[in-house]
Parts: sequence; structure tokens; C-alpha cells
Amino acid sequence: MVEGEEIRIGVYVCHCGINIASVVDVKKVVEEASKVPNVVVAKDYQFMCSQPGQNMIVEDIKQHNLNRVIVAACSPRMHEPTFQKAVERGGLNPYLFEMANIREHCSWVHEKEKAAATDKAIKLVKAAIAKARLLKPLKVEKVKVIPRALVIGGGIAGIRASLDIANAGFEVHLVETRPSIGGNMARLDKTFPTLDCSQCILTPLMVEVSKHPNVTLHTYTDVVGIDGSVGNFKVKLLKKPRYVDESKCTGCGTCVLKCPWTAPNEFDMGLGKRKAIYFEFPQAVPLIPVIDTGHCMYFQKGTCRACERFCPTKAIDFNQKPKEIELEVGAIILATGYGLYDVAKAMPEYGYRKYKDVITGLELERVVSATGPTKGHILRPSDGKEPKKVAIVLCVGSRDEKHLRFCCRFGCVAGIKHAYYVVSHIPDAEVYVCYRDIRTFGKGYEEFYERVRNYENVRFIRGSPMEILQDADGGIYFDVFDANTNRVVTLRPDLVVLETGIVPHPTFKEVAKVLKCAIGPDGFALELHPKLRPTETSVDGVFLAGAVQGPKDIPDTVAQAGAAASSAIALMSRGYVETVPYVSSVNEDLCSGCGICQPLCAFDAISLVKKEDGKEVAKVDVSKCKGCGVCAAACPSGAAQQLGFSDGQILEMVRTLAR
Amino acid sequence: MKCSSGCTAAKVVDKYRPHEIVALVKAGYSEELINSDVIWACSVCLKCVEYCPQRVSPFEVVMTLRNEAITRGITPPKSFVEMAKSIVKVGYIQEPMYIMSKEFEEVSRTELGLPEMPKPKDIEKFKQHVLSVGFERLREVV
Amino acid sequence: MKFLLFLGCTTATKQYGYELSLRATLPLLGAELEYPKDMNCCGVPMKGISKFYPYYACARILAIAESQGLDVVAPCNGCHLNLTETIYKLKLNPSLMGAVNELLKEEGLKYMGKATVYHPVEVLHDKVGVEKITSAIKRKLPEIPVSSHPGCHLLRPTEFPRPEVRNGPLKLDRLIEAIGLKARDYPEKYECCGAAMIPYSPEAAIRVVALRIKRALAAGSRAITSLCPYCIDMLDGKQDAAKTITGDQNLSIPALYYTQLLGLALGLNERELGTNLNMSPVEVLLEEVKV
Ligand SMILES: Cc1cc2nc3c(=O)[nH]c(=O)nc-3n(C[C@H](O)[C@H](O)[C@H](O)COP(=O)(O)OP(=O)(O)OC[C@H]3O[C@@H](n4cnc5c(N)ncnc54)[C@H](O)[C@@H]3O)c2cc1C
Ligand code: SF4
Ligand code: SF4
Repeated sequence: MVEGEEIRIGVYVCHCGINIASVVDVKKVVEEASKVPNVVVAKDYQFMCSQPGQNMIVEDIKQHNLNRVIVAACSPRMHEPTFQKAVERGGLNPYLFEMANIREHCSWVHEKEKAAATDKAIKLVKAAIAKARLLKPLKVEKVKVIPRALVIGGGIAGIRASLDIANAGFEVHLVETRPSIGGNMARLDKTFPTLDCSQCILTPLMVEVSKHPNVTLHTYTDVVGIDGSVGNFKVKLLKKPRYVDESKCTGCGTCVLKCPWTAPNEFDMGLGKRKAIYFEFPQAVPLIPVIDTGHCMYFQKGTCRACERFCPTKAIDFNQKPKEIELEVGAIILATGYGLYDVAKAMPEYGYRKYKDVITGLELERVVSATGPTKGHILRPSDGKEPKKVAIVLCVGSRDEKHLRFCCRFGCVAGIKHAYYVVSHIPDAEVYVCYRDIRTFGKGYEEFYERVRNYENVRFIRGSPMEILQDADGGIYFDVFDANTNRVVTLRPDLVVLETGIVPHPTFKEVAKVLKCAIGPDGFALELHPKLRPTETSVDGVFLAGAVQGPKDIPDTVAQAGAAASSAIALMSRGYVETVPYVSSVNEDLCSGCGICQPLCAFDAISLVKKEDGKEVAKVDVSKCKGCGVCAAACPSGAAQQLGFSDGQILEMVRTLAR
Repeated sequence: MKCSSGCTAAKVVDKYRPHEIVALVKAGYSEELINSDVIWACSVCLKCVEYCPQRVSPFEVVMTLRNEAITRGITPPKSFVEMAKSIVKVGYIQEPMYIMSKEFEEVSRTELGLPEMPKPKDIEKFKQHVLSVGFERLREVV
Repeated sequence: MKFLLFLGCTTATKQYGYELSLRATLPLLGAELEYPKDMNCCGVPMKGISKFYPYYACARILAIAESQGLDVVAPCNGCHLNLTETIYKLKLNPSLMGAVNELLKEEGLKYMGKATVYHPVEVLHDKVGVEKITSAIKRKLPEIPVSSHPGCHLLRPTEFPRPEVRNGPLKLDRLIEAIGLKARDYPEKYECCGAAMIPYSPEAAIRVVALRIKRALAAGSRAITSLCPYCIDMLDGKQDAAKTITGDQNLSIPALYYTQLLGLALGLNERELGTNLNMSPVEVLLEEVKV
């Protein structure tokens, strides 16, 4: 388009099948639009987004020499890109296009007032025409994408995503806050519904990812800063000191053997003990111990150093300091997983942590595991005896308006698996599963439920206890109403297993803040669209994998990890990203350098710079600007303008609407 | 059904199930309940209010059903009538009683050196108000 | 520290031991009690007759306290709950407040939402304080295991603040330990005494309290204590009935108001505390405590 050229507008009114046309008189809209100055063609069509609809635009641009196009149809969130491409095919700058939303903003909300809806549609189209006259071509820039990815969280989600990206030929940095990767899956004994041994299917992947030439593992490391935007993130990591030199350690474990001090084992959920220098678990990757300074006598009292004395490779280094690592990556995958709801604090009525024989499902996994605190024997914590009667309570904190409103999605099947654990370890044990509803939606889950349901010594009770009590003799008992029998039964189990609600990993909030990505009302990472864009976040280039987005079983976690990896791969293999053209732009002549806009920008895109003449002005870093428009709205001198949504354009629309 | 698991009354009165009362009301069977004496069994322990995962309050439902029964002229268990009558008369659910001491003496407030129990100053006005806020629906009281 | 003493029905009409021991102990610890001239029932047992009545009844009590410029001490859990609930709900609901005041106006009263309500457990634990009690007592009682029974309404509902919380040590337990006794947990200490079931079925109500006594005994408690007239009425007064109904002749334990135990530690005599009015076998405990 040439400056000063005559403005020639084409207006296209869509029926959207009957979505619009059954309410809005589209012919009348066309008729009114064609009367407006500068409108050269005005047409209606059944589906503007269809191939013939788009072709109509392309043809008309050429035939009528159009230089502005307006489509009155659905929300621009739906089809703006579609029509911009059509406009581009017709030879115009795609930003010489404007959309009027006469579906969501009109026909759908004024179903019963047809005449008024038609009037409103006409007004909306006229406003779009008014804005279109003032549209200017905008430029999209291409920014190179750094072909390297960061994966935060080394559970099954992070491991799977890292492997997929690495196998596609890209470099991956996998960061894990704990001393070993593996996440919660490493804690499980068997995995439903097939009952494969969790370690057996996980350990090979842990080893593979650690040995992969494209993967750099950063264990015992936190992400402390992230700057930049899609394609060009600058990441700051902080590696916590293990007090063991990784280059010298061979993982022989002599230090652990010799260390005289113990602490509760966090991997076993506090059930067993570990040494002050410890491997997170026997199959840890990397197999390098770490000193827990809180329990190490040398750090606490200044004496001991047993590990140092006995280490055959002189790997102990009490002077190790935290180490900062800086990285530049093009894409980020968030896979920080989940934690358990704090039932001890939030639901004292269940006596968890007060009564030793009330444990969580994850604790039972450790108890059953051959590497757990009881070497795989189900023994109850209070006296080490084999429980003959076990109660399993589902939905503890989940689906509860006073606690967590959502379903934890694996508690039911985990509970069924736990019933199986008990009867397979202690064949003469009785198991009671107290449930509200059983949800076995996954592939093979209902079949697994049926199998366990058919065990004679597993009884399913339809009801949840209100509280769990302990008698003077230490025995646990509780009443539960069973809807199937219409009776309140008193159970006196030797062991109670609570299938607790699931919450985001405790570090997630901090990570989300560093990344500036949105958190949903349930506290988990918010996906861009619950159905259509489940792996993307509100921040371009940051993808989601696994339980960070909400409770997920392993099959779903792995599937999403693959999807997140392929999104990252797609981004990196294309090699560039297009910048949003609707960025803010500062007119330096108008800018007074007041600096009001700078702290308001949520994306740190504005800085104040000194010009050659000494005048201070605001400057927008377009690679960071998301086009939110906050600065434009706040600028007292009208210097900051959002391209594509300038004050002049918006005011012209308002004037038209007000007419 | 946490309510019916923990309900004080449900443990000793087989036909009392707070979850069932809520379900019956929801399904449109309130009439049945209003005419049944079961709604008078609640022990007012408020456990159901506290632990219901859906923020339903079976207790409030039961109290509403009781109020409705009174409105329909249904007579509640005798003690409730006695208490109501006494409130209308003296402002309390009962008058100070003689009680038996360990020494098998019948003693009263005065004998124990306690001051007289303070009552509503204008008992007529009080009565009028008590009746107007709902007690008038109780046939036996009026 | 001066409070308007709102006794409520049960304490004022039959649980004289509570009233006597409150009058004997609280002033010694600096909490003076004043009797109102005009008073009525709080309405808690009448909720089923009229949900509105308790608001009127409680606002009336609070209005009287306000007219005397005093805060209220309500020794009954039910009264304390209803008074607190009235303060809370009337604050949220101006039209309810208006309706209540409409009636009060005719009686020359007005509720303004100013008065605060305390339960004796709060007066003793929060206002007087455990330290002051420890230093005020004449002697520490022997380390006898005693179970506390706070009672439902001291704990529930948590929609608005209650004096005790289930998560954490009870104030009542701290008070027990402050005078030398040992607080002994028993599983059903957060449960109901059953008192409000009496009108429906005395037998059912007694089955409820029998369970509490049984569990406290099983936990090795040698006495049970509470600061609620309903609870003590059940725990102390219904032991014989509990024996008859359940056939369990062992259901026998001294049940006393905490203020009675406190009085003993303060060196008061049994008559002043009304322990001769308790129906449970309190003598056993009194003997042991004497020396
Ligand atoms: C009792 C129980 C039994 C279960 N049984 C089964 C089963 O049988 N079958 C099944 O399919 N599913 C089962 N599950 C579900 C299964 O555990 C999850 O599907 C799976 O662990 C999710 O993997 P993830 O990688 O998303 O999260 P996680 O396993 O939680 O891994 C997240 C990782 O990220 C790390 N991390 C967190 N924050 C940071 C940070 N800020 N920086 C760096 N690293 C961080 C964590 O340390 C952890 O290693 C069970 C769950 C429970 C609770
Ligand atoms: S630090 Fe030394 S002793 Fe410990 S595992 Fe490594 S090499 Fe072995
Ligand atoms: S308040 Fe009534 S219905 Fe609710 S649990 Fe207690 S006794 Fe049952």
C-alpha cells in the first residue's frame, strides 16, 4: 500500500452455518455496510473460514484492488490467523485486516432479540470499518531459536521429555532439585494396572538419560532465574553443594557405611532412617552421595569426618560451595510433578502423624518396596507386626470443598493396588477399602478393579469415615457408614492407609513465579487451553509435562511428556519464532521520561535510556513485549502506543459506536 | 456419607441417617420426614456441619424440617413442648429445681446461698415476642 | 476484669455446683462476675421450634450486657455457641439485625454488636493465664490422670472462631496440668455427650455418654472434667442410668467441673465448690487430692 492511496475496503459477513444467520439478518448487515464510504465490496457467505470463503477474499483483493479487509464472523481468537493468511495470499500485509465479532458478542448472546442483534452487528461492522481506515501495515520479525532445551524436574515426565528431545538431536539440560532423578515413580513398588515393577521400568530410563550424549544432568540443582523469551531464554541455575567431588566419586558407598550419624529418610517418607551422608536410594542416578549438613556431626559440632577418612578416592570436600550455572535455551519444559496434601495439618480428624499405624499410600509403597524401610515386608510402624486387618481410605482431602475440590485421578486405582499388595503379601489378611465412588477410567483399570474386587478377603465399603480414633490399648478404630448395607460398621484395623489428595510440588509456586507462567485455581500449572492446547502455558516456549499440570497417572504423564517434547522439538527445528507485531512503541518526541510505564510492565520489557541529547526516554524491548497494552493505557503523554491498537484507532471505533 | 459415618445420633438410632435425610429432601420426600419423629433425634453435635466434604449441613436441614413440622401443627417430642411452655412462662426451659445432695438433702438455690435466678424484666412483653418469633405455631403453648 | 455472668438454663436451674465453683474461683483470679437483673434463655434447645428465636434471645442477652457496659461470660457451651453465632450472623446480615432490634426496642433495649462473649475456658486460659493460675494456687494437686471433655460446641463449627481447636493441645488440658493433674487423652474426647438427644430418647442419649465414660476409663483416667453443664449433667448425673441400660457395672468415674478441681487447688473447701452435689463417685478423688 502506498501512503495517500485511496482506501478500498472489502466487507465479508459470515453466516457461520446458522450460528449467526439465524439471529442476525446478514443481508441487512451487508446492505448497510455497502453504504459506508470506502467500502468497495460487501458480501455474505455461509462459511467464510471455508476454502471457497477464503478464496473469495483472495480473488476480490485482486479484482477490486482492495487494500483493507473486514470479516464479520466469530471471535478473532478463533479465526483471525486464518483470514490474515488469506489476506496475505491476496498480496496484502496481513495486518490490514480487521475482524468484527458478531457471533460471541452478538448472535450467541442476543438469541431472543433478533432486530436488536442485527442493529448491533451493523454497529460492530461500522466500527471495524472506522478502524480499518486507520490500519497500517505491521512487520513481523523472525528471531532465531536457540536449539537447546531446559527440562525442570527429573521425574518420569522430565526424563521422558528429555529423552525424546535428545533423541531428536537437540541438546537438553535436565534439572532436578533432589540428589537423584526418578521422582515419585521411583518410590512406587508396582504400577497399576499391569503391576510391572516400577523400578524395573524406570531405572533403565534414568540410566539412559544420564548417559545420553545430548543430555546434561544437573541434579541437586535449583532454577533461580529466568530471563528472555521464547527462543532465547537466559537461565540461572544454582547447584547445591553435595560436599562430594562428583569427578572423583565412584559410588562405592564406603562413606555411607562409615558415617555414624542418622536422620529420617525422606525418600521413604520419613519411615526409615538414612545416614548423614547418603544416596537418595540404592538405584540413584547419579550414584553420588550427598551430605545432609543438618545432621552431619562435622557441620553441626565440628568433629567426625569419618567419610573423608575412609573415602578411597578422596572425594569428600567439606569446602564445596554452591555453584551458579548460566545457560541459554530456546524452549523450557516444566515437569515439577506433585506433592501430597498435608493431611496431618489440614485433617487432624484422621490422626495421621498422631497415630503411627495411620500411613499414606506413598508410605505403603515404600513399606512394600524391597529397598524400603522394612525390606519389602508389610509391617506396621507401631510394633513391627504384620497387620492382619488393613483399612484403605480413598478420597482423603480430594473432592472436598473444604480441602481440595478436584479428583486426584489415581487414588482409587492406587487404593485398589494397595489392597492387592496386602493380600499378595499377607494372604490371610482382611482388607477394607472405604470409597465414595470408584473411578477406574484408564485403560485396563476397570479390569484390574474387577480382579481385586473378586478376592474374598477384600471388601469394598461404600462410605468414608468421618474420623479415625485410637483406643487406650493403641488399637485404631473408626465407624464407617456403608451405603451398600445401610449399616454403620466399626472397623478395628491394624493398619490404615490414607490415599491422600495431591497438590503441586512445594517448589512449584516459586518456579512459576520465576517463569511468570499462570497458576490455575487448583494451584497447578494452567494450560493454555484445557482441550486443545493442554501442554502449552501462558508463556510462549514453556511447555508442561506430567503432574505439574494436575494429578496424572504414569500413562498420561508419559503421553503428555511426549507431546511437550514434540512441541519443543517443533519450535527448535523450525529455528525461528515470529515476534508479535502488536507490540508497544514509544514516540520519543512525546515521551517525557516520567518512567510510569516501567514498573507496570509485567514482562520487564521497558527500560529508561538516555538519548544522545541527554533526554531520558522509555524504550521497549520488542522481544519481551507481549502487547498487553498496560504501558499505552498508563502513559500520560500518549507516547506509548500499542501497534494495531493505537489510541487513534480505538477512539475512532468508539466514536462510530457512539454515533 | 461422612455424616452418617460420624453422626452421634446415627450410632444409637438405627433409622437416623443424616445423608439419607438430605437425599430424601433433595428427591422431594420432605413430607415424609416432616411427619416422622426421626428428625427429632439429632444430638446437635455439629460433626456433620464440620466434616461434610460438600459443605452441606445436614444439621441445618434437620432444623429446617423441625421448624416446618411445627408450622404444620405437628407435636414434637414432649420435652420440647415442656421447655417451650416454660420459656413462655419464665424465660427459661425450666424453673430452678431442688436437687439431692450427697447427704440426701434436697437443696435449692437459696439454701446454697445463690442469688435469685434473673428472669426477663417485662415477662409479658417477652412472652409476646417469643410467641411472635415462632412459638405461636406450637399449639400446646398458646 | 469484670464480666456479666450469663448462666443459661442448665447451670441456673440444676447444675449448682458449676455456679458455686465459678463464683468461688474466678474472683480469686481477678475475674469478677456480676449478675444481671434481666435475663432469659439463650434459645439453643429451641432451634427446632424456631430458628429465629435464638437470635432474638441472644441479641437480648447481649443488649443487656451492652447496656451495663460489660462483656459476657457464658459458662455453657451451648449458650456460648449461640451467642457467638448471633454476633457473627447479625454482623453479616443487617436485615436480621434490624428485625431483632425491632423487637428489642419495645423492651427498651438495643443490640449494637459491641459486646464480646467469653467462655470460662477462655477467661481462665487467655485472660487470667496459665502462669497466673500456677502461681495463685495454694498447692499442686497430685499427678492423677484426668480426661478432659471439651464438648462439641467448644470446638465446632469452625465457620467462626471457637475457643478450642481440634488440631493442637486443648486449653482445657493445659489448665488441667496447671494445677498439677495429668491430662490423659482418650479417643472420644472430641465427641458429643448426647445431652441434646434426651428429649427424643433418653435411652439413646445415655448410650452415647456410656461410650464416652467407657473409653475414658479404658484410657486409665481416674476422673473426667469439663466446663459445660450439659456435658457434666450427662457424664456425672447419668452414670447409674448408664449402668442399667448397658449392663456394664464398671461405668463409674468421678466427673467434676474444672472449676471444682481448680477450687481444690486454690485451697477452697468442698462445700464452697458444691462437690457434694455431684452424683458421680467424686469422694474417691477428693480423698486422694486432700493430702
Ligand atoms: C501412592 C501413589 C501410587 C501411585 N501408583 C501409580 C501406579 O501404580 N501407576 C501409575 O500409573 N501411577 C501411579 N501413581 C502416580 C505417579 O506417581 C505419577 O503419575 C508420576 O509420578 C508423575 O510423574 P511426574 O514426573 O509428573 O512427577 P513426579 O514424579 O512428582 O516428579 C517430579 C520431579 O520434579 C522434581 N522437582 C520438583 N520441583 C522441582 C524444581 N523446582 N526444580 C527441579 N526439580 C524439581 C521432583 O523432585 C521430582 O523428582 C501413584 C501415585 C501415588 C501417590
Ligand atoms: S564419596 Fe568416597 S566413599 Fe563415598 S561413595 Fe564416593 S567414593 Fe565412595
Ligand atoms: S448435628 Fe445432628 S445430624 Fe449432624 S452429626 Fe450431630 S447428631 Fe448427627
